[in-house]
Amino acid sequence: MIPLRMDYLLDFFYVCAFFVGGLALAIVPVLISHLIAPAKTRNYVHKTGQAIECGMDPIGDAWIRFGVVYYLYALIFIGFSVDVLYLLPVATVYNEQPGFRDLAEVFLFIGILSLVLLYAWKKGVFIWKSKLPPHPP
Amino acid sequence: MEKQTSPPSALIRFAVLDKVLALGRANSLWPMTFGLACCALEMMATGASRFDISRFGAEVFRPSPRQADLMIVSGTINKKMAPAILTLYDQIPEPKWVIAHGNCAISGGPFVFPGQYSVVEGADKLFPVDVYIPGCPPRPEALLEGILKLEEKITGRRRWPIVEGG
Amino acid sequence: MDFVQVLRDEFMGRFGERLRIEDVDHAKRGCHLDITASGVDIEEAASVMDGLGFTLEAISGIDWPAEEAMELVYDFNKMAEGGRIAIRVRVSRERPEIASISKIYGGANWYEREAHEMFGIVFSGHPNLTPLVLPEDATFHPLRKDFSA
Repeated sequence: MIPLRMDYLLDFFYVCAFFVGGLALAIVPVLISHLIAPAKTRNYVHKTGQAIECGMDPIGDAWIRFGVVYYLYALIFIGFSVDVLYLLPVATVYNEQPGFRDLAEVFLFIGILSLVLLYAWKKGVFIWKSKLPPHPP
Repeated sequence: MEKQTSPPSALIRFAVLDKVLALGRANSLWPMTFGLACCALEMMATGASRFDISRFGAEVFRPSPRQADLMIVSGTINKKMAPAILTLYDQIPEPKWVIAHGNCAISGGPFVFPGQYSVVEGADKLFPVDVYIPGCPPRPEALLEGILKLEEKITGRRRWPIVEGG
Repeated sequence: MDFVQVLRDEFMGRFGERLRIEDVDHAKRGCHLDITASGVDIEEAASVMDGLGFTLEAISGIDWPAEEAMELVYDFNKMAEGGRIAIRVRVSRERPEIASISKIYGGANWYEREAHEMFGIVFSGHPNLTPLVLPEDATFHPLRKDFSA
């Protein structure tokens, strides 16, 4: 059972304040634009909500198959962003101890994560292959 | 049908905020390219470096109606094209303005004769137009003057000097 | 031009008297041969032209109200040897109907749609005979001589 101490409560209050601030940052701009934007859109054929197909009626569904190469880009992005995420705690305690410990730690970490990049490179992620057949001579 | 010629008003309005918003909107009009015929070439010439529409903030021609707030109807509207242009007008979010660029967009232009079967006689038969730019085709300077007139319509005063001819 | 001779022999062999072939001055008329055929033969004629390697350039319609007929001109071209052939076909004006050649020449699809919407000529066997440049619900045929809106 965690005792009810003032500094625990204060920390909890800080977390709550950040949470509310984050929610406000997301919701308040939407609210503002609802209040000061024009009330309705003038329309004549009631096609305001239709998906755009350059004036024509849309053909087919939006849920189509995408090329798998986009998935690979997403994977590489995940690799890099996890990298940055774990470097943030290192940055907060950097150089509190004398010596090269922190620097070596950072290099080790980045070195291991760069293996992800190397693997992707060897697999040919950075070569965008065109799917069109070669032009006849 | 009664056509509303200015964008509908908002829920909350402040006088000073309106002025600021109008100034912002007028000086950053994002046109949707609606080049249909020859006037489209004059519009392209205006967007190019010599006549430079970018000085007035309007160089970012958007291909999608959802990202635009100005529709420059350049060229003849045929009856087959009319449903498409109405759909695109619907899909532009408010506040939106329309410039009828060239004689065909004003009133059908040189293609109106008794017995014509294919041309819609002017963009204002379909939706409200804010500025009319006559010419066949109008010079790029005329299109720029039309953009300045629209700015004057939005903000209420004209910021640019009136050019004397001759 | 040897292909003219080949073409003439081929056509005369197949159709005989149902055709009329005319040598014309290319400098004046723009084509080397002007062939007048009848409507029933057009599909076979088109497949002959396709077999000889000609491409379809245009299908044009002409309205002859005084002669109670409508005429269709099929322009064929063989770019490699520089030969142009025109095949003319007449159809009746009250019920203008002719076979479609869109299965032989895919490009004929749009030409026939345009001839249909402008003149009212019905191309039997056409997969999609809807207006091309007129509004979808147009019921009038503007290029007829007696049209006035």
